Amino acid sequence: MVFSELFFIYLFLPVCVILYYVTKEKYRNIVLTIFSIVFYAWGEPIYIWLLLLSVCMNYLLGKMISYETDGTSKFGLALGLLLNTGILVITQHAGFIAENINAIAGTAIPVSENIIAPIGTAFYTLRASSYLIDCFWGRIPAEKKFSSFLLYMSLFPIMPYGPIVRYEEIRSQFICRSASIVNISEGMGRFIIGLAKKVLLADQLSLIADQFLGADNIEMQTVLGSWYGVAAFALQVYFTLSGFADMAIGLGKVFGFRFEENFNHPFMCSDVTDFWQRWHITLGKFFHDYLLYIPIFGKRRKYAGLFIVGLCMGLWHGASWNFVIWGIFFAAIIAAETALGRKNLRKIPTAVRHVYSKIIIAVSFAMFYFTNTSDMGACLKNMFFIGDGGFADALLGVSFKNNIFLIAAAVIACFPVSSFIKRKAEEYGSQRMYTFMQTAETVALCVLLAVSSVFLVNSTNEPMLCFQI
Amino acid sequence: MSEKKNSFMQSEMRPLSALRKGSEAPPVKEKRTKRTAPARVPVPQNNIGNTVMSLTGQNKVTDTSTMQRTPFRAVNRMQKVREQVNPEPVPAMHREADETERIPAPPVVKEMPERSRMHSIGMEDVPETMHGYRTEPEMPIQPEPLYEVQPEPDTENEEPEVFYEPEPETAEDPVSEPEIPEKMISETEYDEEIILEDEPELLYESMNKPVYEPKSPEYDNDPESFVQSIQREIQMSHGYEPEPVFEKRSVYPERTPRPEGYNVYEEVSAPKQESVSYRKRAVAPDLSNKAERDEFFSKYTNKPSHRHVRPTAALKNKKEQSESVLPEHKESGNKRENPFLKRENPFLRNNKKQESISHAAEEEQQETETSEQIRQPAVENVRPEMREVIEGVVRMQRLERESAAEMEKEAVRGSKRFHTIRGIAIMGVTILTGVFMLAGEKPVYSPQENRAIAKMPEFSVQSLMRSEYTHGISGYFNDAVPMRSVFKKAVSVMSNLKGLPEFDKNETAFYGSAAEMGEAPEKALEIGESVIINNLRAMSLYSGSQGGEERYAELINEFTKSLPDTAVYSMVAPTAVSFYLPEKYQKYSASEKESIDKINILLSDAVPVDVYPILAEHKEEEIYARTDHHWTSLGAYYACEAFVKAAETDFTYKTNLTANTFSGYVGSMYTMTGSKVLSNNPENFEYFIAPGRYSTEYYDTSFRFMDHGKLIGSVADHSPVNYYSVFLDGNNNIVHVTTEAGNDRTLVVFKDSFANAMIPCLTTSFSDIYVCDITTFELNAHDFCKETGATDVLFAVSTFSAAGENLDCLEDIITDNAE
Repeated sequence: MVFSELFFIYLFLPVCVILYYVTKEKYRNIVLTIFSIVFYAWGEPIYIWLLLLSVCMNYLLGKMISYETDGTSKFGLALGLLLNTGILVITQHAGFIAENINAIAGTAIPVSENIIAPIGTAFYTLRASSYLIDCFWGRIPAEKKFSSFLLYMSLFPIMPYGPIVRYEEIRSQFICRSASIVNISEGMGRFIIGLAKKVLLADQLSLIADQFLGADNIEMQTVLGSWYGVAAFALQVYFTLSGFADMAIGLGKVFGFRFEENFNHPFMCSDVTDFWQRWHITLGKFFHDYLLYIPIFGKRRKYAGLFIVGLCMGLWHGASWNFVIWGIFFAAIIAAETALGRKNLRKIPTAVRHVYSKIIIAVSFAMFYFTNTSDMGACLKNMFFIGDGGFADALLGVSFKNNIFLIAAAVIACFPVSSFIKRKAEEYGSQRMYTFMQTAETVALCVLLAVSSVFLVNSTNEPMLCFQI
Repeated sequence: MSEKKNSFMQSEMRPLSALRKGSEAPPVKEKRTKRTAPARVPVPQNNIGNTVMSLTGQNKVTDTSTMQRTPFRAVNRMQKVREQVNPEPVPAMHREADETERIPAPPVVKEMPERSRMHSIGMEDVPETMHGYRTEPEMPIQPEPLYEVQPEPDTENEEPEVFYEPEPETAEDPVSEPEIPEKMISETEYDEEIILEDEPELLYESMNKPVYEPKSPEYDNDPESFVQSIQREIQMSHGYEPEPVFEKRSVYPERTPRPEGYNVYEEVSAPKQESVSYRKRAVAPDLSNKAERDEFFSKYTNKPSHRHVRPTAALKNKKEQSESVLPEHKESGNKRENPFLKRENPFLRNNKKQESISHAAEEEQQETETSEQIRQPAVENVRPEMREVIEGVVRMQRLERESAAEMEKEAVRGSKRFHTIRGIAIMGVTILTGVFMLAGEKPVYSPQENRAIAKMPEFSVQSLMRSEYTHGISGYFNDAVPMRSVFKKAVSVMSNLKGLPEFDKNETAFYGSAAEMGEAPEKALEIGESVIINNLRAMSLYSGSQGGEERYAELINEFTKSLPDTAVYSMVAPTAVSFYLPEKYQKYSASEKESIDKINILLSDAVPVDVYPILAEHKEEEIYARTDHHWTSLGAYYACEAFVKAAETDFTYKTNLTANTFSGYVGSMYTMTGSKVLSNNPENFEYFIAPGRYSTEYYDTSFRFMDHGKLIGSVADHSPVNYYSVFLDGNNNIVHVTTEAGNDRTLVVFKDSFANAMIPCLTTSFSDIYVCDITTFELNAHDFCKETGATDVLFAVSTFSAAGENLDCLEDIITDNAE
């Protein structure tokens, strides 16, 4: 089950919210746990057992780590990290590894094309790892209540797409959190904004991206066409991920949780380092806190650590070489920026920095799009005038004209426009303006919900040709 | 610097009650005395919110726009007057009046921006500790030994444990009293009576001192993250709004509109040099100071953190007094118990909020009175020319304060009301839509897509384990939406809002992937995969494929060799893109003519039927549908003409055919693109009926008789997108047509859907016609022709089939299914 489907929005969620709010406060965690399990089992009836196994395992390991003896806790940590990474690798990367072994060693390990990684594994294994490491470092005590830990690991708002919430941030919320109509209002508002981002922007932008990058003969794409397609894809990824993050935060708020923000208008960044401080923040923090400064590289750890993080981040995003290249590419850029130094970087004119960072980001998304590295190379060639496709063509003009409002809306949505408007209205300061703004917001949210839902009806669109051609 | 600071600390730590009451000066030191119940938490509750907020550094940026906006005309006026009359700073005693402009700036947290940056990779400064936090040399501020100091317990290992594993409410513990250092109180509370005429800047200095200053060695492992985690936890557990990390936030409560001039009590930045404020102020506990930190944490453990310090009676008095004059803050009513102490009923709700709002006015009143009393003597000592001004300001402030409190009440109420409306509206819409989707009449067929709507799956353990059952249920719910076709039309309309409205009929749009055609790709584009709409006509772009033509010709040659006595014809039909694609878009499509010619050259034994020239000749007529990927009956007719010429048999020419025409045809291209251009411009659908009688039998794909039927179905039975399905009545299996042609020739047609429209025109040319769809045919083509006694075999497919995926089907029926 995903958040952006009618079944979830109009059946699962209302039932869950109603039951949550009619239940006595002390049983609400139980309601939420049950719904979280159902949510996960709905999509992955088999992998739910893996999740439950992982919960039990990490719960016990957490207790083991918090033992006084140093050896026991170190052993517990090592075992826990190994098992969590194992789950992640086996579920996500088994096919990739087998393919590469086949390619290198010439073996014939059968690789099924249809392996679909269970949803949420990438996120809950990271959550579990952060919990264990935090226990080891003494930042948090091992959780005594199994039910709390189960809820932490299975909580459905953060299950499929993050954010990677840490236990220390959320443990007090399991004990005490507010629940009122204000929560529902704010949370559902945030959810609708995320839904609109996903359905109205990301899904529509994906049509453009596929049109310009999805063609089989990508090497014939033009220079501007490649840039246009890559830009559309970058926006698509941003609106998909931030849309899901908004939905997660909104759903959390409905149930009284407060999760960390995951995106902070990343395309407003002035340099690539800045970009990563605004893009998928919780993931960046996770790798930064737990991986970047592992003291295995001595004094060189600053740079070597970056490359390790880049590699891991790439592999985390997907089991394919292009993601590895993508991660290493970012690590190299950030290492270069680090080597240059922030002060020196700031001396460069702002406009130049912005242009530079956008070019780097576009290149990175071109790497992100093509799982086939030769297509990736062709696209990058096209982007930098080395391809065969020419500069521009009629197709680009037609597509731009046909999508101009969509593109404009997407670009505007990359900036904090709504908060700007709200602030201006607040500065105006009259009660009438306040009333107007509140009413307008409510109406806008309802309209967005309705329009998104109508588009979701169309998502099952599968025209069948009247005959096989 | 530190010397100055210390001196300030000392002055600040004078027993304040002595200043206030004058007469009785309680002893500063006092020996430990037994107490019966542990009194917890000496820090006023009201303070916590502010403290935490400022410590986390998230609200350190106050909304400067609001601050500048504050239209205290009176204050400004007064400032002007003061500047004119008395350029010197107003003496301390008199400054009480202009408190509004001299409210201390909030504690500045110097390190926070860098810290928050450090959370992501790639920051410049590499911290030295494991967790990435810089440690700086400690600058301990030793308080005066006003209290008895016992040797400190080793808190390094103890503290976190104390915090994280709270015990239930402890019984009376005579020893473990919560005690606080005096310094703590003096800073945490509102030291309204401190008069520092001599060293105003020092006061400011202390107020501006960074909260995250040097750490103490106790937490050298990672003191700050520990502190942070606790702050976060406190924040969460008290239900405070966690501030978004990146946005500047106003000091106002969220959802509260700011009335003009409301921020009487809020921080207003003042010039550093002259702003010595005597306003009541809250100072965040300095967590770098061990005593304060212990005190701060001890609130959240019920063990007092340092047993070696005992409060003096003066401090206790001070505490009581200070609690009574706390200024009104947003969180002032938030007097919840510490959730960690009440494990048995942990779900404490934030139910005091309303109460706090209703009490706001009372507190306001109380506050005002208190400040009035304090102010009164101040005014007396002012020079006569200033007195009037100051009194005026005081009066105005009071009025403003009252109205501000009133407005806040109203505003908060309003905000809550709007949220209630919004919450109910959204949840109402959601629930009602859910009910509508469950209870509404569900469609079973989608005419626009020509497919059956998903059905409720049947339960079985196996399907449950394979997640088919659950996915089936959600798929059913997502698909079988009541009024689905209406919504789909709405989507079509709304999708057109993505771009500029159409200006003329020559509008061009692309659907699906498209790029210039260079070398033919490995895998051919399928019909509908890449569509261009131009001049109201939708065309599927053709790509060809590497080796597709060769493979097709090879298969036909192989088949021809296996049937030496039978005439085999191959007709590869071009599509609309060959004839109607404008010149400037030619490069997006490969040439169908080249593919057809290539095939025809490669055919060694079979007879090629080249329909391209005859179609090109008639391209001004309506030979291809505009809204469908097929040709029209007329196009099929010309193809038949070319075929019959090659097969040398009879043919009924157009003049003798009966044409039936239906309007409102919007074909398959509309379902593929959803284009409004197509749906707004339907075309006519036409089919021909040849003279003479014939009977039609339907067989299944394994050539088992099923039913008698019609060669051309009724248009009324089909939706406008499926009018093409009237040929062979939409049958995809094997169709046998027996005619009155009487020439004893049996034609077997292996075809894709393009040939469907041809069959009615051939009923006068062959006695028996067997029509087999290559995509569904399950037998071996050779055996089938033998069985039916075929004299002529026609392979009639479009270029997309000849070079695309359907080649696999062709290969199957020619080679694989041989018995």
